[in-house]
Amino acid sequence: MNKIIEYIKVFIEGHGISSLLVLIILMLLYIGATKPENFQIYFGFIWRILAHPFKSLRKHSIKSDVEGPCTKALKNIAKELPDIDIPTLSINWVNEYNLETALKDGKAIVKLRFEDNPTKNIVKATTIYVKDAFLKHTKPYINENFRKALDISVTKKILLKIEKNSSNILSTFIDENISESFDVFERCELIEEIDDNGLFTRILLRELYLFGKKLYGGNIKEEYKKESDEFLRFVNQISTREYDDDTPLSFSKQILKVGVVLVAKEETFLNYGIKPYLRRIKLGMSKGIESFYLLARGTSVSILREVATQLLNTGNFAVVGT
Amino acid sequence: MFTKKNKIEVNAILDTQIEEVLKKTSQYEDFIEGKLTCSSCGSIMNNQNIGIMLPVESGTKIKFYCDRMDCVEQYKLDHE
Repeated sequence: MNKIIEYIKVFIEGHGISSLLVLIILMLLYIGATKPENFQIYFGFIWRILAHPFKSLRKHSIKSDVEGPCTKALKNIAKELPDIDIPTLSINWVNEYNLETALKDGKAIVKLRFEDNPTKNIVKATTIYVKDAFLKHTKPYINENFRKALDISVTKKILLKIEKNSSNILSTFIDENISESFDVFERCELIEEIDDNGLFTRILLRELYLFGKKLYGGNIKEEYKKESDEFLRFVNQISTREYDDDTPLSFSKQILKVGVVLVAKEETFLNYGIKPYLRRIKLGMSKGIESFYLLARGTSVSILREVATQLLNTGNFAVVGT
Repeated sequence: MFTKKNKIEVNAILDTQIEEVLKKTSQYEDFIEGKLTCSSCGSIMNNQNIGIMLPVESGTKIKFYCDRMDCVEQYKLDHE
């Protein structure tokens, strides 16, 4: 190994390449392999400068402007949903060679424009992307207002994660959604509260994904739409629950069977270990609950980790996300 | 690190290509004369406000949605 390093050193010095340059190349290769979207963002700046005089580069510029930040934002969201595959967004340019095929395919074509501010392009492409990427199999089974609210909320979440110019992007998006009905906005507010408390991706999106998976291919019934709407309100109640609130901790309907186990008091764990939590889970299971979420706030989070570890050590549970 | 991720392809055109596409579907004259409207809000389509173009009738015609977000949302609901 030392011989190889020595050989490389001699080769580099023999060709007049400085160690700093090698270090930079290695760093770039590392970024390219692990976070290619960062490359795309950096190249976006270069394409943008070049695309002003050279019109033929405008497509490269727009593609980088849209794909780079969106991929980065989606990777952040995927961290909260590690068990669900979130696809990346890719711009497919329709040109003279594939125009006929694209028209026959019947898939929507979005119009993008080369501008100094890529906000509108990002908002438009993300909106179309969300339609196919998130909860595609679930959407037929939830009501129209909830569906719209979900799309708006997911799009907003992606746009919020776009670091560059995020306030501008978001205000463009909000301005353009201002005419939505009260029912849609009421659900958007419920989702926002859920998201502020960290349960949007971790519980709501995950359970709706499973809901769609269970129902996929089956008849669309009003009762499913009602059930999913009630579930939204249940998760909202959980997320905004105060310390001693007497809100239900389980939701057991025809399809969605979800339970929440609160880990709040340190003395409960210190005095009784995992027994009280196990008892609550067993009680929930007897009522048909299929997935349980352990929830804690503030200082109780460290107890939650310990409870989760001990529950997993029993060998009867599997963790799907944190 | 190197696993291939699923991707959703979003078909896109540049605003400068609209003429080419509309000539292909023989809708360019209608576009110039202001006869093409948004399928959601009914506003007249022009180079600035086209949001989504949806090929219909086996790609021989195009249906339009303007770039207002609620019209884009309407497109999504119409084609869920």
